[in-house]
Amino acid sequence: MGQMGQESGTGDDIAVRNMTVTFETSHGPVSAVRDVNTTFRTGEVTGMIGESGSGKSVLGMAMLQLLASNARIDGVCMYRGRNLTALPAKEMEKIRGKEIGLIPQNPAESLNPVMRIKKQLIESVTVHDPKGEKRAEERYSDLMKRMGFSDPEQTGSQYSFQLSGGMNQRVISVLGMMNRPRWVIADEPTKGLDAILRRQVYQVLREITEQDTKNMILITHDVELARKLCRKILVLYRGEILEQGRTEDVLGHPKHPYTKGLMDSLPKNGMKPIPQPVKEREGAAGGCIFYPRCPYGTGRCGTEHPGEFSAGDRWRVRCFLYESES
Amino acid sequence: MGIIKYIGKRLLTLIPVLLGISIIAFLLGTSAPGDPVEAILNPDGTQIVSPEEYEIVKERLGLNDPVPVQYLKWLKNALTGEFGQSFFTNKDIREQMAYRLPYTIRLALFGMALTIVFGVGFGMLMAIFKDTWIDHALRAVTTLMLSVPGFWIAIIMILIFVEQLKWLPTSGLGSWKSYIMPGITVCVSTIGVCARLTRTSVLDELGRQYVTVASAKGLNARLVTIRHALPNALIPITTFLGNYFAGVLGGSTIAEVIFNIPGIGNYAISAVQSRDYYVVQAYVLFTALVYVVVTLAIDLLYLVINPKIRAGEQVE
Amino acid sequence: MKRKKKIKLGTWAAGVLLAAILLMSLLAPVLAPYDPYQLDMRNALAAPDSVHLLGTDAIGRDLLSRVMYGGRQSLLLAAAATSLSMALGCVIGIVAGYFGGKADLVITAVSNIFQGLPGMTMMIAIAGLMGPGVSSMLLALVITSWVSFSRLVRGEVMKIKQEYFVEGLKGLGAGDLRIMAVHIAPNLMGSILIIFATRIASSVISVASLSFLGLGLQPPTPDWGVMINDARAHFRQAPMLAIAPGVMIVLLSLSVNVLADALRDKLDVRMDSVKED
Repeated sequence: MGQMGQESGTGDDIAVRNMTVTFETSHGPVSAVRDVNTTFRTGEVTGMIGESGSGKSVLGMAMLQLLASNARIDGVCMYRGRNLTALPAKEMEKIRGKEIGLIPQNPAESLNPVMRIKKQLIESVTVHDPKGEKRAEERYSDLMKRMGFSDPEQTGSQYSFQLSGGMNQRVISVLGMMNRPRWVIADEPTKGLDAILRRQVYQVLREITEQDTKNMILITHDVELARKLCRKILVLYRGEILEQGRTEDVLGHPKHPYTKGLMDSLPKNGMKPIPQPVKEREGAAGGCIFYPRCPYGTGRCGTEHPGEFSAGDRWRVRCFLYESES
Repeated sequence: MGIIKYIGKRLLTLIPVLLGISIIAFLLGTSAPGDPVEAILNPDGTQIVSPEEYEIVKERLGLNDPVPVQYLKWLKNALTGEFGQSFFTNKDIREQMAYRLPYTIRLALFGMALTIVFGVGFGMLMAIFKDTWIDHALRAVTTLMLSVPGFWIAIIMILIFVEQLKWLPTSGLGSWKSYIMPGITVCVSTIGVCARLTRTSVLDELGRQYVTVASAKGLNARLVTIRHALPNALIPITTFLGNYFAGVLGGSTIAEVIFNIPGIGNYAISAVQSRDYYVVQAYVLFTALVYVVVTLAIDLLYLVINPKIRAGEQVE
Repeated sequence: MKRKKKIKLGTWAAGVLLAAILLMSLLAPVLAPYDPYQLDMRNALAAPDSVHLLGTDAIGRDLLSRVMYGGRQSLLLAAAATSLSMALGCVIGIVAGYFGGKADLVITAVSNIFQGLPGMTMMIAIAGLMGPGVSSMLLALVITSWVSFSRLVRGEVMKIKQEYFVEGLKGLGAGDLRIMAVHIAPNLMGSILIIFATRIASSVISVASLSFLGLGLQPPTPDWGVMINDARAHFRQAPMLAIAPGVMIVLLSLSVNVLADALRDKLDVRMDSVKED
């Protein structure tokens, strides 16, 4: 398959191998994630970037087995010697929130509208440790204060609809960190926020990586946020990883035509849009997923599916242009 | 302060409803066929009524006034709880209602309790065990329940429990046992509706993001459903149960007739059969009043279960 | 929606059952072994046997024949009442949703009033005061069911108006009614059909309940509700008198409800599966 330079999972690393997620819909099966191979290393923040529908959130949720019941996950996700995709429900519940915390997307919708904020946060500790009430209280007021809530008790006695969007965002960041998880997955933390709030979120996440855990997976469409926070970047497009590598490589000297296009479409690079799909190239099965929009596409790209080719240390690109280098 | 304003606002919207229903109630009475004067003076149709006598009674009943005046007079009396006397039995309507109401309330409470236990219970089970045999079996049972007419189930119960097994008394209100069959009669189809409503609303809630987040905290499916989805799902269920309660208070006629319970419904049906229209007017107005009171009670309950309303937010 | 969804066995059974009941009612004059009105006092309360498959009632009428005839009146009545309610509800709903403002306010207030009255109370009062009969039952049924149609239609009309507004199409100009019909009809067909079906089922039960209380169809009409009421005096000796017509009502209502459920499932194709980001 041409998969080179596979990083092997060690220690607390999360290693994803050949992961495919398929939804059974009334229109037939739809693959949201296809043949993903990567390793999330401890001690660094890994960013998954891509447009809406690229499968990045599905991949994150699949690692926690939090997808709707019509989703089928193939492949493995190894963590501390266990395959998370095949873990029984009881075991998985022990991992969620405790080993791997989630900072969910859509803060306002992520909180139960009829339960007070504090109760929801304390619950994430007490569900794992019924006697941990006191510890939870301490952790709660500590984290809330760190996130800028001067009066945690007062804020905690409110409901999510009484807080602003930015406050809710900080509340769910606390939610993800309540149990001091080894890993944290932050799902679209800046989605729909204005520049000031985006900056605030960045500081919150920085603070988490500095004080709580460095093991973070950041799912975002916000390239600048990823550049500032991440050591490694995965670029997803329609369910496939098209390019992955160190942030300075992937975002600094993008190799895949899609990553290049993505960089060129940033405001600071002149907002040149990625070309729209070429009609004649669409619908060809088996070829490169980006072929219909690719300015470098050749006949081969329409019929043959490219593997991941090595473009340097920890750097892989799913494009025939880099076949020779591997 | 928000709470008082909220209740005040709800009251304001309910008053037109009450007025509207009172007009309907009044018109139902006056536009009904049959002549009340004739009914009073000549109840069995054998007397000869002189025109003078007729006029005197007609004047006494206020029937010479224009209809709007009649309505206002009637409403004024009704507001003070004065509904007049039955044409036929000459009994005071208010006293009769007061005597009968406890029976109907007891029946309604019993039906309500059964609906909450089985309706909400079945619905929860169906949602928790969605797509398993439990769900399928309960779905079949609840669909059947909502297809069964109450009066028929009453007769079938009498056949089985009174005639065959001799477990229960047919009529009379000696003990709590006598409320079992009437209670089931008033709630069997409602349990079906309630269970299905509970199932859909719990499943709707289970599809929401906050539920996924609750799972992400490590809660198991049972806790997620009971602690998070159910309290949210209760909001539409409460409305439904309130409307049902109001309905039974006003219309458990069938159960009362079959099981000889001297409740409000039984009173109404005998009044209707004898065209005793003062009683019918009072009855319709009474059910409207019940509706308004129950609606207010639900609104108050919302203050407890829905923090958005407590916080004075606009809902809807 | 192209996917051929397997139609469940239950749905098939319900469809066949409903067709059978309708066919039986339609062809009752041909199929019934006896005249449903024909008395035979010597043969009163006969047990089921080969001559009278379901036995006879208190005045010797053939139960099977009466059961076969028993749905004709109430089904017709229910269908007529529901069609009338639908027409009335659609008109009122379109007016409320389309004109909005004061018209909507008044209509909503009136709807609240009708929703505030328990259906059974209203039916008993109307049927009772106007005297038992087809027209009073028709009125009672329409008065208690038009609101469910008008609410649905009103909501849909408002949604479409909103869409026009959002799209900046400068409201609805000439020929709006045609546009409304074109836009609204397809969106609403399914929901209206579901309400229509379930309303017919519940109307059949309502008619039966009124007849049972003596306020609806009157003896000697062969009608399921009337028959159950008649049976009250005799069902201890001849339980079949109460069971048979009741089973028919249940089967009819059950088959309609199952079909309505299937329709609901089919129309409610939710794409909740592929939501991401």
